[in-house]
Amino acid sequence: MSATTADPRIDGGGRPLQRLLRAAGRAGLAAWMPYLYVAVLGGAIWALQPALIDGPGAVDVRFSAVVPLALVAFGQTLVMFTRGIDLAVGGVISTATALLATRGADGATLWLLIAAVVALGGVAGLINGVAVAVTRLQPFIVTLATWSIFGGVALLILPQEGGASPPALSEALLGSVLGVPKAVWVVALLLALWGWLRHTRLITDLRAIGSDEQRARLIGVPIARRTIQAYVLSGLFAALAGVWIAAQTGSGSPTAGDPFILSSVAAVVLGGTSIFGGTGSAAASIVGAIAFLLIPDLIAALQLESFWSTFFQGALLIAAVTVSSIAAQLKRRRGAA
Amino acid sequence: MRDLVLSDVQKSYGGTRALRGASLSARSGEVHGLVGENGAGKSTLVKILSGAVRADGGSVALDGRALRPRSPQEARRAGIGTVFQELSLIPDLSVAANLLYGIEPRVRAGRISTGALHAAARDALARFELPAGDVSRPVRELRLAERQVLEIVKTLLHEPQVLILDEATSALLPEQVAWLFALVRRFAAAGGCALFISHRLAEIESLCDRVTVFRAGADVGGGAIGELPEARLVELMLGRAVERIYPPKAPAARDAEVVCELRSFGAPPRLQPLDLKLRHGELVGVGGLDGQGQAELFGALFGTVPAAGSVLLGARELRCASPAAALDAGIALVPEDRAAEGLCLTLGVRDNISLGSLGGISRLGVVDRARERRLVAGAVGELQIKVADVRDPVGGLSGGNQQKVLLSRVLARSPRLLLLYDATRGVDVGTKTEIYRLMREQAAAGVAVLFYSSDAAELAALADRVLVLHDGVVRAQLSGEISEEEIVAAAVGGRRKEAHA
Repeated sequence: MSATTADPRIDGGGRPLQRLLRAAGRAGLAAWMPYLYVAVLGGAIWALQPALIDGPGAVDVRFSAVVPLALVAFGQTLVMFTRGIDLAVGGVISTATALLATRGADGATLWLLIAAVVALGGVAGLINGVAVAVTRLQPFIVTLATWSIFGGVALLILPQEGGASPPALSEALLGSVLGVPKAVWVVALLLALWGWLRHTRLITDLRAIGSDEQRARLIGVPIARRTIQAYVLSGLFAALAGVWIAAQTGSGSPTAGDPFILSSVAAVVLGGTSIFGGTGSAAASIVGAIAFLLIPDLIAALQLESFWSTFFQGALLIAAVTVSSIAAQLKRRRGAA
Repeated sequence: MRDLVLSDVQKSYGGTRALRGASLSARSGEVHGLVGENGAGKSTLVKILSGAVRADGGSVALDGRALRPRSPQEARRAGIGTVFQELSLIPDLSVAANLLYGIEPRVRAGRISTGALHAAARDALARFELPAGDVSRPVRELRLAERQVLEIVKTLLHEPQVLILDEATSALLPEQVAWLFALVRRFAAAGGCALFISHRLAEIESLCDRVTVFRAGADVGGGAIGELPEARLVELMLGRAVERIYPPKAPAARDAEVVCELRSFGAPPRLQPLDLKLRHGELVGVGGLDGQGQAELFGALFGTVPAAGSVLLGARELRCASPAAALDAGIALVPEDRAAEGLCLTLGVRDNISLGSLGGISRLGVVDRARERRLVAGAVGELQIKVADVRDPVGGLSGGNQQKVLLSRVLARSPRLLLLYDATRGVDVGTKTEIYRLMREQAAAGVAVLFYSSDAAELAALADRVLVLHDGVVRAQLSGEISEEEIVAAAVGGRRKEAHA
């Protein structure tokens, strides 16, 4: 008997439709969950208080809140592909808003200021990345420290909430283009960015590192370089989120970024990315961010006290983690069989 | 000419000398066999050649030029292709991405064209006479044999000058082995140099032109395969005649007391229900190809895998849902991966031995140090564990001594069912002999002993009875004068039957 007819088959093949169905089945329930969360939450809000979804300016308000979380979650996803975590995003965002709220700028200097702020985020990411990849420290500890350091820098620049970000900044980022809120454009742009990025060598390498670092080393993945790149990108995205927040609120806060640490991890997990690396999608994280931010609206629609928001955000997170854990176990069982 | 010449290569890990001056010379156009016991230094040699670790001393030359790869990439660029024993496929990446990692067909601005990638992967598989199918599947979903085949194809796609196959056949079916051998012969005929590492001496004999034998980190002999009969190879590998390692067999009488009985015991879907009686004094071995349900059998008995059916130990029926429950019921397991599953490497020898019996030597939750000392001293003496101070961390001991520490802990609990899962893997001959002797003693003392071994020779020489598993079913039960060939034939024979069906 020749090897061609024996067992070394890789799969059965089949027609494109079958293959598509198989791909959908393989991605599993977990991949569809973030969309389901958004549909269910959005539907519930729409049923209770339609104005929260289709009222004047409602879309703009919703998406303006989504933008910074989507940005941070995008970067966080890349880091989590490698089994890492970036807590420093909190400090980076705070420092970014503090800087923007204390440096009056206009025209060309404004763009210079924004460039400097974003570069600072990149530097923060570089520090994290080098510490994790080269000195091989725990990502959690490293970024906990840099969060604290950048939080301190933010306090140094802006001791309390306040200041005023350049009006030109708000003008540039708020409002609509072609009748569509700029916030929606930004989210669309991020989704498009992921569509382009997901087939790059970078993403393949990050997944490989998170999936099995030992083997990734054996096949020649440049582990240190890729890990540093992931953290740098996360820092850059966090700084961009800080720019958006400064524009949106018109002021700065030395603690503006702190809520984004946990909510970005929550958005990534809601999107179905495993905290054990290897799998996931930044687009799903953005959808996860939308789902996460629909909870406060649902609470408003239900006319409950606002503290219920965090309660239900936590409950949604537990539910999402449970679903992905069960899905992973089923997958492992299937994989082992 | 692509001759590979290694001379006096040395490598130590901490205090353990894995290679103490190993030499090997493989010529272009030949398939060179490398044999040796587990722990003889073969894997370390592979790691050095493939750039995973660097040698402490000695020299490696390829084509007359010095070869000192500092990374796997450098080794690959230098023309070394390695089929790793543990495989180097990334579970979460697709078949195509794994096959063509680093040699993707179309990359623009860092972006890989998925269509071109999949087409190239299908093309590559076709070139190796393999059905392509869905190359977008993640490798995680493939069977072990499929992964092994993929690893081989992946390595050859890099067009290496030297092809290293480290236990590449361990998971393959006979047809796949034939496929691989044809590939390797073609590779050598085209001027390549293949280094073939296998525990299966029959494979070495049928594939290799010349062979080098390693023992305890150095080469101890070699030459043309025609001049080295199997008995001579084994003698070189072991450094002594075979018979003396194993204690005499002691098959149980037909009416000997049943100390443990499994009734329709299984772990669906990977292990079908089986019945088994372990009699007083009897050593029962489990064999078969890798991953045929052996891990599930031992896991189910020890409570780490959900089980069906029942276990009778003595007169009691057990239902163990966790290792803690299994331990309480008198079941002990010496696992395959002692570093990951059995020992706390940073703790001392003393703590590792007494850890399992703290309940017995404690009063009101406080460990009685005097009783602990006696327990540990007894174990260290009994098993001749070589350790300067019982407080030294276990991680610094040799593999054999680590295994002894683990055995001490397991035996300190006086188990009634002793499970050993490939307990002699990576252990030196001396320790193996100790372990075999202990297994016999335990069995003679009325403990039910069930062991799995990936080494058919060990099963044949040690066990009174051997169960050969295939695809979760007992394919054969051998007893009396068991030969290695019988076990291997049962392990692969079942497969062949099925493949034809």
